[in-house]
Amino acid sequence: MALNILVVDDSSIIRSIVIRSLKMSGLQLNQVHQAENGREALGILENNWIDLAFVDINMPIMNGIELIEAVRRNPSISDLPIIVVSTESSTIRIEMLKEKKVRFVHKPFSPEVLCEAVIQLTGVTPNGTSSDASF
Amino acid sequence: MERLQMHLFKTALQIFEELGFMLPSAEAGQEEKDFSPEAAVSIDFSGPIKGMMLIILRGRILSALTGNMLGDDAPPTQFQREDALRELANVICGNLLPHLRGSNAVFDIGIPQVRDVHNIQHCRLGEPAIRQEVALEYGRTDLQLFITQGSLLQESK
Repeated sequence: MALNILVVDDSSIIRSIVIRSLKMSGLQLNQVHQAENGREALGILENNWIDLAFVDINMPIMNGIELIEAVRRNPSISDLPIIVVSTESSTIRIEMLKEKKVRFVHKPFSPEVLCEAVIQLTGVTPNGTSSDASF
Repeated sequence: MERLQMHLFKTALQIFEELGFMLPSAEAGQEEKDFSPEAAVSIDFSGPIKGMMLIILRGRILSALTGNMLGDDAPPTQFQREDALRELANVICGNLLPHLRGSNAVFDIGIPQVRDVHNIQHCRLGEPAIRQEVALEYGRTDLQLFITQGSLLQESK
C-alpha cells in the first residue's frame, strides 16, 4: 500500500528530512503534502485523503497540539493516524500527547525510528504489506 | 553548574552529529583558532525557568550543516541556511531543557530568531549563566544560556 502523507513543520528542511527518511526506509509513498503550520494542514486535510500525518509541535499560527485537537474533534478526520515529530522532552507532555492517540518521535531521529513508528501506527511495512497496527 | 555545562556540550555534539552529520574537530588547537563569526540564532524558553539560548557559529559550519541536512551537494540558499540555523537552535534547546529541571518539567520554547552575527550585543541578556564552546570540523560553535527568571541551582542530576 502506498501512503498519502502530510508533513507539517515550519522548517522546510525538517519536512524534506522526514520525506527523505521515509523513502530511504523503503516505504511506498503516493501523494506527499506539506504544510508550514496547523492551519495550512487543516486546509489540506479538508480537501485530500491523507493516510498518515507527521506533525511538529512548536509552530507559529497554529501549533501541533492545536492541530491534533482540531483533527480529533472533526468526525470526518478524527481517526487520522498522527506521528508527532518534535524536540518535546517533558514526559508529562509526551504522555498527554499519547492520550490523543498519537505516536511520538523525538528529534533528532533516524530513518529507522521513523519507519518503525509508521509500521506500528499504520501496519504498512517497507515492502508494501500490511500488518496489525497499534497505538 | 559544571554538570549542566557538560550536558550542554554533550547535547550540542550529539545534535551536530545526528542532525548535521558533523563530528567534533580532531585538530588540536581548534578551540583557539580565530574563526570569523558566520551566523547567530537565539531561542527563548519558559517554564520553571525562563531564559534564552544564543548560538553563534564561527567558521564555515552553517553551509556544511545545511548541505548535510538537505542531503544535497548544491550550495544552499540563504533561506535554507536560516532554516537550518533555526532548526539547530530548536533541537539543541529542546534537548537541553530536561537537564535543567528533570524530564517531568514542562517548558515552552519560542520560535528561533536569526540574529545579525555582527551585532548581537543588543540581544544578550547580561552575562550568560552557562557558556560552552564546541570545536567542529568546519569551525567552532559558541553556546550561551541566559536565565531571566528562576535559578539553575536546582539543576537535575
